[in-house]
Amino acid sequence: MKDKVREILENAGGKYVILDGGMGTMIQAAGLEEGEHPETLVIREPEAICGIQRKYVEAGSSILYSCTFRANRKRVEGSGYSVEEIINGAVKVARQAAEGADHKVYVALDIGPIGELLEPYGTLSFEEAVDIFAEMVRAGVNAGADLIIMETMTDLYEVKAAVLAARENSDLPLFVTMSYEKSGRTFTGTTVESMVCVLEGLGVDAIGINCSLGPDDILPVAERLNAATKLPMLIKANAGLPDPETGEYGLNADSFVELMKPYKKLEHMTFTGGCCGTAPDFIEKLSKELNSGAGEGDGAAAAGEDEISGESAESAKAGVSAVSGESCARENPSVFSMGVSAPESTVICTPTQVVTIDSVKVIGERINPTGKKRFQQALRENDIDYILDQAIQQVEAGADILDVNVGLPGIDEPSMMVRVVKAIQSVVDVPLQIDSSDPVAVEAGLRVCNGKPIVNSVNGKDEVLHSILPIVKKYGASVLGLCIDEEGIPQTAEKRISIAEKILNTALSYGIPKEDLFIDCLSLTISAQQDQALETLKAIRHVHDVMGLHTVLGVSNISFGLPYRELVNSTFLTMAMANGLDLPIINPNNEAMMNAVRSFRALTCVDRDCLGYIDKYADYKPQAAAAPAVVPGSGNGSPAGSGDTGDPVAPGCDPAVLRAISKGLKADAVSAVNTLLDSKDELSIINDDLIPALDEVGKNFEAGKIFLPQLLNAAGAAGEAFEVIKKRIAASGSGAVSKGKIILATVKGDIHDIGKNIVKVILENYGYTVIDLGKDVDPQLIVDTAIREDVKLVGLSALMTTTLVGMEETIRALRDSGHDCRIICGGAVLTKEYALKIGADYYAKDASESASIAKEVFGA
Amino acid sequence: MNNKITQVKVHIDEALRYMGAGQTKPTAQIIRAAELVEEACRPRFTYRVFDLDPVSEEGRISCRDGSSGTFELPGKDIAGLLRDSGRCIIMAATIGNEVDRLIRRLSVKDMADAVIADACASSAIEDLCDSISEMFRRKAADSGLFLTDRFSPGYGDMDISFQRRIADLLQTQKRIGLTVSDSCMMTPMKSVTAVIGIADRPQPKLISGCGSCDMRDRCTYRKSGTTCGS
Repeated sequence: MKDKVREILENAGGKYVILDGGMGTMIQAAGLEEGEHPETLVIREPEAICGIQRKYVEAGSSILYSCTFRANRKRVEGSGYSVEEIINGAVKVARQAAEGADHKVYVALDIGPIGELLEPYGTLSFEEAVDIFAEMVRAGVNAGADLIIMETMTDLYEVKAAVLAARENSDLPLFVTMSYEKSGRTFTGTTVESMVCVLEGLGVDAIGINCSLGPDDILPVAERLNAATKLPMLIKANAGLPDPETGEYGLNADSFVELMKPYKKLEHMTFTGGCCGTAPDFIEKLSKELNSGAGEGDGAAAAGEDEISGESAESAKAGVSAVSGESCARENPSVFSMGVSAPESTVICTPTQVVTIDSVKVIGERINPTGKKRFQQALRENDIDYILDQAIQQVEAGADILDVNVGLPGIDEPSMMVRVVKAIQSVVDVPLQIDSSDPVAVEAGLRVCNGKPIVNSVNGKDEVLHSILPIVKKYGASVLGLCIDEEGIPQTAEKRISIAEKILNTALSYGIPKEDLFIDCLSLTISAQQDQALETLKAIRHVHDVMGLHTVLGVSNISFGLPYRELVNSTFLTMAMANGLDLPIINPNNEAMMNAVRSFRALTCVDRDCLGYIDKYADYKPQAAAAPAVVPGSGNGSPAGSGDTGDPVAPGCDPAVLRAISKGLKADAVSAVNTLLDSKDELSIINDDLIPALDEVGKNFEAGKIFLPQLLNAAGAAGEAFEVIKKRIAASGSGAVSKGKIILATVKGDIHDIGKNIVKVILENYGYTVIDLGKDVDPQLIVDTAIREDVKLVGLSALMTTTLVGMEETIRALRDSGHDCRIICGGAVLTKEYALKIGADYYAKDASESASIAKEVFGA
Repeated sequence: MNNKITQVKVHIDEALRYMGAGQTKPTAQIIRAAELVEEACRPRFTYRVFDLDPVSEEGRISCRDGSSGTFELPGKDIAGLLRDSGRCIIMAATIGNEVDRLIRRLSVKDMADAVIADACASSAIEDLCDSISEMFRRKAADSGLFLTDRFSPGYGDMDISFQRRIADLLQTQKRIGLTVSDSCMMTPMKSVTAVIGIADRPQPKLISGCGSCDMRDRCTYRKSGTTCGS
């Protein structure tokens, strides 16, 4: 594969490699109608397409994009041709166009976006996307394409699916270009730097920008790309912008080429051509401009060639630190060190957010069932929202990265890892750290992770190194290395350092760059082994300053068995950071720990002008004694709307609970329930206080006295109160309280889940166990779950007329299965008559009514 | 080109109506959600202008242009709307997927906030479409021309699947990041596709009442048997 890239560059003889130009305008000019399936033109009008491509060859193109941009199964459907036929035809046509050329011409399989958005925003699953691209890649390989170029991509997740498909089904060179707005982001928010971070990790051969804008507007984005990447760069700009009324593009060949001149200054610039609105004369003039006159183009292409051979990496490093947006001048040794060999900054990312490890960054540790009964219960009950809430809380508390561990006996860890990773990345925008001792779960998590993650972890054991590191390399992740080996935890700094060296050497042997390895020097409990704290610090300093590696540390072990643990923890954290700890793994909800991090950032000039510190603590007041406990997220005090008609009454119900819930006051609801728990058991509180309070609110909603937001505020307050009770029950181990299990799902084809989520909140707060199967749910999954969990009530939601068929199909599948259950349907376009007609037992017009129906079904 | 609309506004009274909260006064919670939505909006739109053939005997109307050939606009209602029009604008607009992300995040944290934000986002896309229509109206007026109302797939008898054809015609994925799924759902969620006629005489406001309202599928007033009266 590398040989092919090298060959292409060598053929260019140190000059820019010229690609082709636009097809659409040329097809129009040739008088061809694109119709509904333009991709079939290669079969319907092969001579015409070949003629256009030949003009590009004559203009100087040495890579032709075959007309396979949209030839994926979703788009080809209904055209009368298969993916295989179209791709085979397109590659042949391009090959024909190249015949008899006076220079070597390569034919690329061109892969564009599928045309539908991937989850979580669309309905297309990541796995299906990989499959769709894999079919194209296999067809391209069979047709004899020389390389694969993905272009006009806007979603980095879709790109990842395509790259994996290409790598798993071919060994062809792979170039990827995405389309950017002037802001330097794609439509889905992908930044240039995230694209570089992910695609360099996945091992593509060239990276670039195409379409969307003219050369002048792309230039600033290309400059950022040039600074961030170490790969050869590819640019295919549009001929300006199209006039919506005439469809014509703004630039002619001369002005296009004029605007392309500044690109010669970009050292990584290697491949270039034109996109929409460009024609053979653009390419001919571009080729002349860039490649005429000795020397001018040399630097660029030569630089590209070096990168391929892996010899030059210097320029890229500089680029990466420029990305951070913080001061780049700061050297990065530990605070007190002589700065012998400071680690290079490392970039990890989501598509929209880059985290540069050039100073202390916090890894949140809360998504982990170890020792947390409530979390274990959530995992067993598939309560993904509980986990998401933990994710959001940690990010709001200041976590830069989230550790994700879902390992629990009896849980299918790989599939749970996939579910949780997908769910977390749909609600928060921080990079993830995939944490598992099971290589299968690690790979499953890495595969679906959107962005560049970290793997937690490897250690010095050969077996672990050789099973995990190849996966880390394949998916381009960073990895933690724990200083443990077959002999257990070493007692001296020296031994830990030698294990770190072994891990480093093994990682390098797998092609994992040094900066992607983070070493954990282990913190041991000082109440048992007091001398170990200093050994840990000594090891951190050496690994960081001498070996030049980033360091990571789970801090809180240090104080185990001691009183006032957070004092020891935060002090040790400060000491560790001063010795070169980059990535503390802590609970970011713990104020003392975050205080240590924020003050450390201010003291070490990372937080410039102490702006972050001031922003956080400007309103700080020394704590008055015994301030009332405040629950996170309780700031939502004011209820919506004007249903504020004095304190409500409900017979038998605790007045404080009733008041708090009906006014949607979360903190008040929690403290009222806490007070009640002193005198009453959990179940009685649910039945005598919480549910009557919710009933009262529901009545007011029915009567039109309050509106949906207030109903949900009340449910939110009841939810906080329920959480107190659930925690109490989980801790006592007496099994969960449930009035019955209900499945909720938005049906296949539909992704509007707000209605379903409203119903869920209400039902949960009535004490039902809701199995939320999410949106776009396959009927079979609903049937299987209903049978497996013996669920007696299934709730289905659909928002659109086009997705009511999915509802009908699901009801039929449930009936056909013979499983005894009631079905309740709801959704905007649904009427009672229609719901009953398609076989539902109940129609609920709103969430409140669904609670009444549940009561009827379960008799409570 | 001066076809730029960078700001969209949430009309809180309208958002309250979408929530079924009628004439209530906006609370701090609602005002905060509206601000979050406005910040998350990334308004984008694209359009093309097509020539129209005269209405056929079957009461249908077709568009044509150089690259896409001739194609029929589905249904009789659109033919009625465009009967005086020689050309039409086919447009697509979105406030972007940042808003979808916001609503998703809120629905985990607090469903009430999510419902409010969803209503605010519906108001925001409506506001964007109104700004675009106004821009077209002014352009048309400069040439002494008049516009019809905006007509979207799903209105009247225009099949909702025409959304996919519009997405292809306008290359919405490439131009504004808008895609349409197999079941005709648009992503980003708060997006609109529509047809507007360009006529040489003033056009009556034809579209009023629930039949052609794009909120009719979600309208809580309609479900309870009343109308919003707007």
